Amino acid sequence: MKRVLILLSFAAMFAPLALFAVEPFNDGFADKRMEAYLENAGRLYEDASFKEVSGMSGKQCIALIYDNELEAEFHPVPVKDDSAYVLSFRGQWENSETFDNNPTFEAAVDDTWRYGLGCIPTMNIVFMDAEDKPLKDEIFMTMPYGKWHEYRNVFFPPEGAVSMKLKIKSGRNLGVFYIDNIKFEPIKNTPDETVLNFSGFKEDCAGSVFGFRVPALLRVVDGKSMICPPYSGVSSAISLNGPGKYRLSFKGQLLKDNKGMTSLGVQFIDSTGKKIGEIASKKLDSEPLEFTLPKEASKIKLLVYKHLLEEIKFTKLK
Amino acid sequence: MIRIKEILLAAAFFVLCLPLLSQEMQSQEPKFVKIPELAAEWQDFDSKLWEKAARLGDFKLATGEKDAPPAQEPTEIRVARDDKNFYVRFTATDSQAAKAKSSPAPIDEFSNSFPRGDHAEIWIRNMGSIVFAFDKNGNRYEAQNYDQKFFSGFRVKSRKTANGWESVLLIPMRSCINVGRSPKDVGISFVRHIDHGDGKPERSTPSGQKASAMPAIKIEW
Repeated sequence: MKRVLILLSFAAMFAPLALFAVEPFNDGFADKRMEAYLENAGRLYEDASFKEVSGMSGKQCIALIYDNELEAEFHPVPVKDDSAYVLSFRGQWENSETFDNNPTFEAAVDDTWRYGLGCIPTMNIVFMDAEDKPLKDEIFMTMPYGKWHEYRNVFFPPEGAVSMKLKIKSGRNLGVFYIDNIKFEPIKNTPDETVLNFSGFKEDCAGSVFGFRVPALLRVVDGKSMICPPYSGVSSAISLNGPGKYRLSFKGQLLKDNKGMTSLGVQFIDSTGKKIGEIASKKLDSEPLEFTLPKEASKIKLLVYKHLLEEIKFTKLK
Repeated sequence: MIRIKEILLAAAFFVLCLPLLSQEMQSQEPKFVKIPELAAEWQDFDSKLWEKAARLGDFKLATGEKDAPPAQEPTEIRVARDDKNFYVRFTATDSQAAKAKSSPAPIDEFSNSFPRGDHAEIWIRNMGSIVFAFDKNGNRYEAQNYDQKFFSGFRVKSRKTANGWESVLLIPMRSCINVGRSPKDVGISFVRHIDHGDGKPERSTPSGQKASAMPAIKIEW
């Protein structure tokens, strides 16, 4: 009995270290073991290897050289569906044809038709529920750039997500895709304030922010980068701090022309993903929008007509 | 009485203008018209048959904006078809042709590498996304969904002219559209890529749309 207790206390002491050992992000690939990062390292054999490459910012890169559609699957990490996260990394595709030397890759930048994208590097973030079953909502992105490029996705995990897995594939080509310095961190918000920042993207950056794709929707105005959603563009689901009264304040610009309506609103979404109501304001630049999030709503979505978004803040009112 | 006279005059004027209006509409909505005789003459740059083919011109910078500025050099496209192939004549006027930077001529007729520098592209969306690219030196490239192993059987012939360069193309329809379904239109972009070696290449399309927009052109069956 004593032995069992000693063993259990030992296990309890080292359990956090064991968890840390499989944390695949934020260390610049300092560990020399591929299995420390990739769940399927054994199946990739030599097709995933560590390399030191000019221009990298981490300790070493992971180079994917598989002329196939097999994905490098990183170890899953725990997530909470009511917290926002940023997942970013740098990527470089060494290939005879890339967007840098073949402008026809323009079509691949924001394409999501996966059947047609088998030949270029892609990234997929999948979310799993408590039973480790994959959820329907994923974040998919193409990576057709030749030179080092920053890939950055800002998101709330979908309803019911408890873990998240990053998958990257080099695609059917004879080149190499280098992955450098993966960073993953939650965005800190206070219980009474949820801030959505849309201004962190640069022009040499690709990805998405709360469902709005970059660079397609990126606009740089007077040195400030903002997101210009398409007319009646809807964001991905966003979590607020439970039902109650909120104030939405907006930082950014209105797109001024005389065509179509200009408004910014909130859709109320229930736990099945269904819209159960919405509210909008046409004069957010002069006064904030106040609304009550109903009890049945678990998330919200932004509904945008002709706004350049820099920051949206939700303040919970007493 | 005067009012009836005015109405009659207006009606007569409208009837007289109808042919002009229909011509205008035709030029705004080009279609792959059927010219079976082109099968024998498509390689002849100066064949009179090209004049019967639908015309696209007035290229604008491919900004994707509605008020895109005009391209710096004129480009004209002629498109037609028969039962098997699309035929295209691409005429690129270039007042600074001597400055144009292009890839050297290909090693052989089978080489499939993207022409760097001054060139033109045709994008077709129907059975996936297909790109054909070509230049005045005879470089040619084709890819389906970014896969260069794609082989359509497309043929291109190019020549340098006093004002620029010109290409004629044959594109087998079966390689890029579902002929069995006789589609009403095909999503297609014509792109002119001007490179005068100043590090500022210019890309233009007939409507100023981005190449990836691939607006529909009607097919006459």
